[in-house]
Amino acid sequence: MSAERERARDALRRAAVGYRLGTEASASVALAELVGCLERALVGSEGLGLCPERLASVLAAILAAQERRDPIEIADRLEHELAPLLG
Amino acid sequence: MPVETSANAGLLRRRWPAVAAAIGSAPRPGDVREEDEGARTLRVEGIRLASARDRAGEARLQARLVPEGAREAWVYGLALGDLPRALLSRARLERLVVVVLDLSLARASLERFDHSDWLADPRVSLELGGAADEVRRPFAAAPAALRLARGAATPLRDRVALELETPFLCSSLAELDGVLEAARAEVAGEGDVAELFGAWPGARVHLAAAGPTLANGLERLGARPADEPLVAVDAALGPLLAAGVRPDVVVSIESRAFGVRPFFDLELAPCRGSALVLFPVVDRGSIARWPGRRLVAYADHPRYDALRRERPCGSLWCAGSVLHAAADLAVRAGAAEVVLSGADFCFPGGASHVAGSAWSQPMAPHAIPGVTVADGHGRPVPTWPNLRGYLRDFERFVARHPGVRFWNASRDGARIAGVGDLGETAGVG
Repeated sequence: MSAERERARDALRRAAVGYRLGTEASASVALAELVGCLERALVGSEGLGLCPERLASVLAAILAAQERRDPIEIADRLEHELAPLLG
Repeated sequence: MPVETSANAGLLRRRWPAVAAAIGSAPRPGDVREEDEGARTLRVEGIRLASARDRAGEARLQARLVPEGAREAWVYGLALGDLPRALLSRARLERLVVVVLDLSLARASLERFDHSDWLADPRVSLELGGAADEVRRPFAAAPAALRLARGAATPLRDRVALELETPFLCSSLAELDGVLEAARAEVAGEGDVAELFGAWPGARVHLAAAGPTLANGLERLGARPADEPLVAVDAALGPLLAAGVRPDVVVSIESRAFGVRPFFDLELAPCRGSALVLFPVVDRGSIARWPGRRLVAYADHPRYDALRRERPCGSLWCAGSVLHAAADLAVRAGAAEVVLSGADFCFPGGASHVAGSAWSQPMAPHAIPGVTVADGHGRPVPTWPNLRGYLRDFERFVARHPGVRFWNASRDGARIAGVGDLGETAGVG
């Protein structure tokens, strides 16, 4: 298990939990960490086995939900759409 | 009438008739849609109320905020009733208070989902959230209900949100410990804020914060009587001096050089007779040119205990905003009245700070959906969650000092509970 993948999964878990609990500040920080991990993975040689198109689609939906401050949708997409992509 | 609606309505009318009447007469939300991605849920005004994948799992997670052995608990926000259900599954729980934060949202949920199982539980008490209500513990909350709350319960919603965020906010302050350690040598050579405690017995003290409405009060502050001291936050210093207004005291708590340096990068000669009250963490390089006295204050927090033992200094209350420390200074100095100028806690006119303040910027590009406070006219004004938190903490501070009369010089900033409008006082303004 690569370190970057593990960091991404940890950040995803913290973000999803934070949004479901109503701790938006910490959840937002974790989401930013997750996005950073994914960006590094996509531009790096490792890639994490991610499909860029699918990932972009899921991230776009998550960021749109973040823009309208829709915490439960963010958490649902993180745990049920993005997490499976990370394996 | 759907089964859900009749069962819910019957229970509400029998057990809580006043709550039933309030919910029944609330307007229905304009945009309500059902969703189901494995779990049936509602989307109200674009916001998902509960998980569309695993509502029960989500509720179990939220319920973990309440200790397992708790005999009573509070739930803020109705959502779809899953959180009350999760807590009521605990045999040891003897009392559960469910607080409705938004009547329209409650109506939408009760008209479409069956809540009769938990509404019928004799341990449940259903209440309407009130503006003056404090957060009761232990508690858990439905985040979407917090997000969508409007009307009378929004101050309570803000307090709940603040309590939820507090552990994270406090964790980010741990970085100050190293800064405090480095400040020991500086503190030894500076004065003590306690010199000002009791210095203005019975006075009307003016407090200048850096909100946009300070601009409307500059002339009044410049013309104030000599026996009415002016305490200013650091971010207000530039606009005050530019208007020819010299504060008696300036307060600074900011540890980051990039944050505080612009406030003091001014012609400071007029401040020769003024005092600078500062927390030990303030970057000393940024204030090196301050010509007046420096008086150290400690925050009322355990992280200052070691420094306090080594070099005793007065303490000022502060819950994250320099305005808090400035207000506490005014009260400890003996003020009978405190007149607030620029204490906006929001972005009236779409600006972050008073014109001329170092960090003033238009806030429209940075608006956060749904984050507003009511101004003194009752209108919603955009703000940020941290400012809203500062506002609610300041309201608690005002309530703790019933012997001091607080006035707000402007209605264009946030309405502050417990604070009167300056215009109400005869002969002032």
